[in-house]
Amino acid sequence: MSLTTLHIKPTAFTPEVKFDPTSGQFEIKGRSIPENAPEFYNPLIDWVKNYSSKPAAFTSVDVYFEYLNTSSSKSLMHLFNALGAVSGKAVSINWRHKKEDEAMKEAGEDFNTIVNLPFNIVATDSI
Amino acid sequence: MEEENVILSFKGIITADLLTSVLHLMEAKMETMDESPRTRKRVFSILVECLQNIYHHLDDNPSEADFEAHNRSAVVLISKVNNQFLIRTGNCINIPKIMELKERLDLINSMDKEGLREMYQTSLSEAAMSPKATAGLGMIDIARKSGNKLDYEFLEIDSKMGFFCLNILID
Repeated sequence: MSLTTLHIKPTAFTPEVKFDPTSGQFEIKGRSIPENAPEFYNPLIDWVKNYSSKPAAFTSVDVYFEYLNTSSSKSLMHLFNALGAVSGKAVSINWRHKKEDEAMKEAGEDFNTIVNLPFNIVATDSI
Repeated sequence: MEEENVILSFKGIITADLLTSVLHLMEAKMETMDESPRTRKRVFSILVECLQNIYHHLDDNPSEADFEAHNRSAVVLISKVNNQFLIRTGNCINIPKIMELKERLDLINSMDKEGLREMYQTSLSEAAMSPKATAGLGMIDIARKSGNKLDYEFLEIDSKMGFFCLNILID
């Protein structure tokens, strides 16, 4: 069974998701403030679990959040754990935040402390 | 003299749809206000946590007969006091749950910025280990983002039910 690209359009409370299993380019972008984050993230985690047995040579995960609630942060930990189990472990996370967004920079630093994956925090002008 | 301008207030039963509406409304209102993006983001993020906290807290008790509809309602008031945003919430809470919440809030209030950071990271990694753990991340996040102590009070309604008031002043 081969996985197809996962693409979820953004909503007012949930981010856009693009996971390409062929190139290994993953992207999560936008707002993540649903009151029930597992409902949104569990399908992503299941997708990654399927992907992890036959991953691309390198998986690069670009993450950018405008807003992130604590419910989503918990789900993200589960998603990062699933990415950590990708076979070969050639996975890196790029946590992008706007230069002036201290809160999202701090959120990235929190994850960097507790996530066991190569983790880059990138300040940018534009997303 | 203290000057207070109410921006948004609500009293009633909290539903998922209502949370969504209040957040949309608050965001639209703030867009018309002369506030820095930083302040806007802080206020909005804290409001998200406050409302979702109340909602999930109510969700813990759906089958309890004592938790009747009128006890599922909450009060939310967002205002500006002397140029600072203040979010006030009030909701019913079962008396047996008060001690645990009070201890948690006092612990959060005893921490400085660095202590809160460590507490948040510990809770977040614990939450990742156990899917069930609620870990109370929301309150820590509110304390971190507001830059102030969580000002709270518990009132007694009757022998089973109390009322939890939380005031968050945002730096």
